[in-house]
Amino acid sequence: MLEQEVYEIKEEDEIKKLGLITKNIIKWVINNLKFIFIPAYKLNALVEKEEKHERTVSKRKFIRRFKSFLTILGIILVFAVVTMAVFPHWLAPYTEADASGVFPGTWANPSPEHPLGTTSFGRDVLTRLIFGARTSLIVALPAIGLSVILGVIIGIIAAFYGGWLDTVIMRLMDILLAFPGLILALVFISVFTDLFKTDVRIEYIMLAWGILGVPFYSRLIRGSVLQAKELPYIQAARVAGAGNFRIMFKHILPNVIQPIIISVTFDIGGIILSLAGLSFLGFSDPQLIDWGNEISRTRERLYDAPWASLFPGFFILLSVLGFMLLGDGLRDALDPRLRDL
Amino acid sequence: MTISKEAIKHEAEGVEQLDDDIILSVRNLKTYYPILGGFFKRTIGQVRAVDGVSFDLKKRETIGLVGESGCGKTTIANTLLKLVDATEGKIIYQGKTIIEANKKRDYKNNIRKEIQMVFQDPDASLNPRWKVVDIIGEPLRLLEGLSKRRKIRKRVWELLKTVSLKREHLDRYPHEFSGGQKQRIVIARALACNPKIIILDEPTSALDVSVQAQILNLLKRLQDEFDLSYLFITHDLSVVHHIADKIKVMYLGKFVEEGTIDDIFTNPSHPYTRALLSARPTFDPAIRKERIILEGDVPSPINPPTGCPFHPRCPSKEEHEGCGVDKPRHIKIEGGSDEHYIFCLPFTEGEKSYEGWQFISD
Repeated sequence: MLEQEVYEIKEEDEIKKLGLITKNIIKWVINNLKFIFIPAYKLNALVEKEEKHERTVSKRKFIRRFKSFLTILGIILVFAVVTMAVFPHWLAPYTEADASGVFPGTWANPSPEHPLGTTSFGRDVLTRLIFGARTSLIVALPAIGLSVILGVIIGIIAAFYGGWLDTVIMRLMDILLAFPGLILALVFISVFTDLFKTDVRIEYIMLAWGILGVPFYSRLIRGSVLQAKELPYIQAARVAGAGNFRIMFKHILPNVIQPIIISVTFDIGGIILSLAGLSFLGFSDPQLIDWGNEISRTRERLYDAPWASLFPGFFILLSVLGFMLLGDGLRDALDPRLRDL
Repeated sequence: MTISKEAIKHEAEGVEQLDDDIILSVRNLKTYYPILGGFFKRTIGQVRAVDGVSFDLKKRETIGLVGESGCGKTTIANTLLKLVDATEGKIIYQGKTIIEANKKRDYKNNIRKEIQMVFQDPDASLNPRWKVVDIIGEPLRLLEGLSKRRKIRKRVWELLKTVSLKREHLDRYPHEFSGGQKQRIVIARALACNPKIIILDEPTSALDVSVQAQILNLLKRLQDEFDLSYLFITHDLSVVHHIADKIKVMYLGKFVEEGTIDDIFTNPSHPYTRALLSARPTFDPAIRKERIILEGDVPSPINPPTGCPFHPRCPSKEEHEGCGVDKPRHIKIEGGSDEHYIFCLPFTEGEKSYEGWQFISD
C-alpha cells in the first residue's frame, strides 16, 4: 500500500513536469550551450559555481527531499494536535474544571455555546477533545519513544554480537511476547502501583506500554541487522578503523531504520485507543480526559448523540494520519536512493 | 618466493631472518572456520579455508593470488586484516609480528593504516546511506585523527583527484555513480591513510572489460606514485598477467605453485597450474590447444583428501609416488627464475623427473 502511495506521488510529479516542458527545454539549452561560450580559463570557477548550486538547490539536501505535499500536510496535522496538547487553556472555550463538571443539558446537539455538542452531565465535547489531546499524546509519544529506543538498542546488540547473547535476549523477548498485551500491561501497572505505593498514575501507563513495545521493535530490527552486518561495507568500515559501536549505530542503523519508522506511525493510534481499554477495566485515573476513554464511554449513545463519540474518533484519525504522513516523508527523505535527484 | 633453505631452517628454529626489502611475511598461516551445530552451538567441524600458507611480499611488488572459487584466497585477505582470526601461524609486518594464532596482539589503528583493502563488489562495499565525502573521510577521521570538517573535505577532494574524480562528486551518494567510478571511490578510500600495502580482492571482476583496463592502469599508476605493495586476488589470468610480478596458485587452501609471471606462464609445472592455464580462452582460432579437463569437483574443505589435496583429480597421479599418502613436498624448479617452486610429489620412475628439480622440504 505504501509502495502504491510512492508511485502515485511520482505520477503527480510527472504531470507537473509535462506542464513545465517548455521551461525545461529552455533551461536545458542554456545549461548545455553555456559551455560553448565560457572560455577555458573560467572552467574552474564554473565547477565551483556548480558545486555551490548543488549544495543549495540539490535534492541531496535532507530538507529538499523532505518537502512534498503529503509530508507538509502531515506536519500541519501533527502541529495542530501538538498545539492542542500544549495550549489547551488558551484554545478551549471552557476551563479544565468545566470539562469535568456537572451541568444541565446532557447529550445536547451542537449549538453556538457548544460547537461540537455536549456529552454526559452537559460537558462540552470540544473542550474535552482539546484537553484530551494532552493526555493522549503524553501517553502515546513517550511510550513509543521508550519502546523504539530500547527495542532498537537491544535488537541491534543481539543481532550484531550473536551467539549466546542473542539467544538469551531473544528468549526474554519471546517471553514478553507470549503474554497478551493488555494483561501484561495490567500486571505492570499493578506492580508499579505497589512498588511506589501510589494510585494509578499516567507515568505507569506510559512505562507499561513502553516496555510492552520493546520485543516487537527488537524483533523487527534484529532481522534487518542480521542481513546488513554481513555486507561488505561493514567489513570496509572495520578496515577503516570503526569500532563495534560505531559500526552498529552509524553504519548499520541508518540502513535498517525504515521499517521502524513505518511501524511507529501505525502504533501511535493503537496506544491512544488502548488507554480506553485500560480505563474500561478500571486501571486508569477516572478523572483523566483522553480520546480513547471518550469513545468507550459515549459509544452506548451512538444513535442519539453521535457527536460525542464521533469527534474523538475523528481526532484520533487525524493525529494518526498526521504521524503516518510525517513518517512516510521521513522515510523517503532518509533514503537517498528513492527519489531521482 | 624468498624463503631460502637457510630461512626455512631458521624458521624451524624459531628465528626470523628477513630482508629489509620484505614488508609483509606470512608464515604457515592456517585459518579454519568452525561449523557450529547442536543445541548449544558447539563446534562440530572445521572448514579448512586456508591450510598452511607462507609467502613474502616485497616493497613495490605485486603478488597475484590465483585459484578457483572457494580455495581460500579471500580468507587470506580477511586474516591479514584481522577480520577473521588465524588458527595457526603468524603474520609479520616490517619485522613486527602483528597477528599470531591464539595470542592477543595489538592490531591497532597504526597497523590498519598501513594495510588497506579494496573489496570485490564496489556496489556493496559502499554504504548506500553515506555521502562520498563521509565514506572516504571515515578512515581519515578514525585512523588519522582528523576531526575538522574542512580539513577532511580538502583531503578527500585531493584523493578524488588522484583517482580522476571531480570535486562535485564529494556530496553525492554511491548510487549516483557507475561501477567504474564506484571502484575508484573504493580505491580512494583505501589510499586515504597512505598505506604501504593494499589488498585487492578481485577489484575488476564486477566491471566490464574496458573499465577493467582503466582500473588496472590506475592501480599501476598509483603503485608507482605511492610505492605500494599489492596482494592481488583474482581468478582472471589475463588480469594477473597484466599487473602482477609474481603468482601464487592456490588449490583448496594450499599453494600448489609459485613463481614469477614468466615462470608460471611459460613453464607451468604443477598439473593443476597446467590445467588452469589450458582452460584460458585464446583469441587465435588456429591454435587448437589440448584442453586438460579435470574430473570431478573440488573436494570439500571440511574433509580434505589425505596427502596431496589435488590427487583425486590429478591427471598425472599415476606418474607420481605416494599421492594420497605423503604430504606434497616443496620442490624447486630450475630453468626459470630462482623463485619457481611447486608443491608436488616425486615421480615413480627416475628418468621422468622435472629438469633439475630438488626438494627443499619434506
